Amino acid sequence: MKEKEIVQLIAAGAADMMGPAMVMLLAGGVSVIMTNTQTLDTILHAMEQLITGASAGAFAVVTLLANIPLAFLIPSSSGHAALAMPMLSPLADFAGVSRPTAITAWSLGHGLALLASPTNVVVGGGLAIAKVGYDQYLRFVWPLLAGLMVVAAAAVAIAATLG
Amino acid sequence: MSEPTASAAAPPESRKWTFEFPSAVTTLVIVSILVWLAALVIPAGQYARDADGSPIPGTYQRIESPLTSGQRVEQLILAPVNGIYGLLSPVRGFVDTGTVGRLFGWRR
Repeated sequence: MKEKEIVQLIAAGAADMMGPAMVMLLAGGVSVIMTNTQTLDTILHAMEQLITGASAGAFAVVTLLANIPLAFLIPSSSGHAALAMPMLSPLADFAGVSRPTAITAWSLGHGLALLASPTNVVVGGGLAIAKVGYDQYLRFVWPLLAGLMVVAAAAVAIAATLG
Repeated sequence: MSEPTASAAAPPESRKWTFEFPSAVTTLVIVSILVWLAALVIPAGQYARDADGSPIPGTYQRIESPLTSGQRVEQLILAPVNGIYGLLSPVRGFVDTGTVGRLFGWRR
């Protein structure tokens, strides 16, 4: 391989990471806006009121469920994390849920959504290659997804309750 | 970058859909603008922080917003830059590129 070709391939490989990088910096920018306008703490305060009554297990399950629609909007897990974590980590502290458990709940919510999300490149591309319609795929896969969601919710609830 | 997959997934099946879901980048630009608009309305406030930078429950206080309207517009424009290069100043509680410190130190 020629020297110029190698450099070109390296540049082409780096270009592939540009899309995820743009998602990351924009998601980071959203929480920066909230931090710099000092509104992040106001939102945390509003949620603190909701959380104080709830049990740790309920908080973990709600974390899992609340992150599913977010994962549809932002299929990139790094971007989703950059957006959600500045708010999720103090909330987990308030609810008395350990940070690893909160991240597990977030990660399960994100992963479950991606199994069915039409915005996920793997689902969209895979279905196109297999020549299966998206509605057909959903009808086939929903019992599995429902089962996985129940198992995941039970797992994070138990983890959060045991601390 | 997602151009080839989009066109590969598009052909006959999704012709029925008139609504094409925007990519994550477009979604986040819209979300940024919505959050920025919401921040105009939501009052500013602050928690006291412990040594790790975690907020202490029950110490929330309303404060006057420190930003002028010009600075608010600046925040919207610079948000992506601050999102990747910005660091949280522990003194001012402000994320910008003028702060020197730990990488990703602002992600509490």
